[in-house]
Amino acid sequence: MNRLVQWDPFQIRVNAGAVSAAIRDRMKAADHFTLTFQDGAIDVVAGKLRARLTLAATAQREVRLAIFVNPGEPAIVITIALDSLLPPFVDLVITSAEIRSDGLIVSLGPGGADPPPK
Amino acid sequence: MSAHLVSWDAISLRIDGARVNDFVRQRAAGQVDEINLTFRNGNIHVAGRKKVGFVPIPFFADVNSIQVNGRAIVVPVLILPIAAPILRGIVATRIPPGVTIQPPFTFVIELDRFLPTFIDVEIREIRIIDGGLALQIGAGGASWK
Repeated sequence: MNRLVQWDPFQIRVNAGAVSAAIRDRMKAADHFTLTFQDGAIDVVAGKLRARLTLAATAQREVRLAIFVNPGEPAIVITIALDSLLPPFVDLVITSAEIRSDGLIVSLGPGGADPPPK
Repeated sequence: MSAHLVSWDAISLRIDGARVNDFVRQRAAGQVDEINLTFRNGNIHVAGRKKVGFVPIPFFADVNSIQVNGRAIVVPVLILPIAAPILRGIVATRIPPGVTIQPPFTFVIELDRFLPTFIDVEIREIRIIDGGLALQIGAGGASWK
């Protein structure tokens, strides 16, 4: 059965400055936190901690981020599952994602949504 | 990039006419005995029946366009003028806040009543197509804390 609302592929942009501001708002030690977006990576400085985030992989329903804390050591990989962020009546797939100096570009495939169940 | 946390350019949406038909039937249950919406290019035809006593009275309506007027969606419904006050009375009790009916029988849907305040969305165009509706959403974004 078709979804009530369906969409064609489109892109969303996540603004680097807005992400930095949102995280800084949540952190107590605001002065010691910086997030720098570059093409392909995000550098994080929080107090004495320095880390580099890259996109390890994207799948239709998840994004995997590699976090490099110490050069030469294996990255910590965290998986962000769309299913944990979206309600089950929304069918959204990721076709690609890219970190750029101005933010994150996420391309979404065709999808759809139904009204929330009562 | 805009100051929104998340932003987008144009988005094309389609609304499935069969699902809308199901939704309208559910909402109209108890008010009318039968109702059916048919989506054709440039026209939504509404056909139904309501029993008055033991006599089933058929009714028909058409929507030939849906307009976007700023932050409102305007849906003029063409019906027999004599039926407009009766239908307005029936429908008025079933519509949610944010939707009004202007004479003769035009629905005005205030978008801001249905969208979360953190979403900035502009509907550019709504076209009636075979099997449903096609919406063109303009550039917009969402910000939240």
